[in-house]
Amino acid sequence: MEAARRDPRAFEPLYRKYVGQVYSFALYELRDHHRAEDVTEAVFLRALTALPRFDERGEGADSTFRVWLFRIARNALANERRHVRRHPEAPLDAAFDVAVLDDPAARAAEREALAVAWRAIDRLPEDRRRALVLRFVEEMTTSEIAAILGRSEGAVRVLIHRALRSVAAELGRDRDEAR
Amino acid sequence: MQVDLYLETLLAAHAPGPRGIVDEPTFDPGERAAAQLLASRLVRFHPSFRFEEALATRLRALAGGRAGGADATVTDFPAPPTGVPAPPRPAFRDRRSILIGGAIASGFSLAGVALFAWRVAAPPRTPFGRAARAAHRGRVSAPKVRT
Repeated sequence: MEAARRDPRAFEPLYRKYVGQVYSFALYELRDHHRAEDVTEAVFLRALTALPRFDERGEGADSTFRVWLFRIARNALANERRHVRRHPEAPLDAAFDVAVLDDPAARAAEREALAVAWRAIDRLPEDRRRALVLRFVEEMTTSEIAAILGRSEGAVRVLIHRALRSVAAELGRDRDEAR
Repeated sequence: MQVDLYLETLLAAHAPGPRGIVDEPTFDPGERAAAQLLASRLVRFHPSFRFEEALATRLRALAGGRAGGADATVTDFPAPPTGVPAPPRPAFRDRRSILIGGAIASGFSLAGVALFAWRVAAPPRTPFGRAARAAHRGRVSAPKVRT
């Protein structure tokens, strides 16, 4: 981190480490590969430019950098969403495709399970969905999520708990419809 | 406090990764199922190799340029990334003042020309003016005599 701050050419390991996380975060938000790539690009270009101003104080340099990077991502996504609102949004599962399984039956089952999960988070309000993605996809701690979303840890716990309840209710509805 | 502890335990129990899923009887079955589903099905996506390498190249070039090193390369001027504010445009007032200045100057010129034309065409109001203009007309129309 310090090396990258002193010499921007040392930024590449940080980029390699976090590019997937930032891209994934953007993809869950925007549901569009191309837009997610655009945002990822903007985030890293901005991060490299702003790196001299990065303040490393915090609980751990690595965690602090990730939080800082995701704050940049959150702002970039907010800008992108302002643009996206003017265009129709694709459903979340339309952005993904399951092509890794050879067995058609297994692929169908996997697809259905994914569809259930995505349908459940797709209907959540933006802030709850974002909190869930940061928790379950990015595997962040409550304090990291709080720092990224600019909320208290208690507020983040409430967000996640409500989101889980909504997902649970959605799963219950799905089960009822399947019967 | 108990809710916080409950949620953290629930999330920790269903965290993705090698820790696996711990069955805790105090968990609400619906919430446990939701956490389990999200932990197992919400996967992390990775951008395409092509995109990752292209961006790495661009960052390398930018970093090289910023460091001023010998390996800095000249690249095309990049398109502004999404959300970056556009460079400041000249203030409206600045451009406007120039326009107003030009218009005022032009206005005065036109008014001067119009006043001169009107003064030439309009009949003089005073006898002295009429006499002066008749004398001028006589001087202009009289044949020139060489001495």
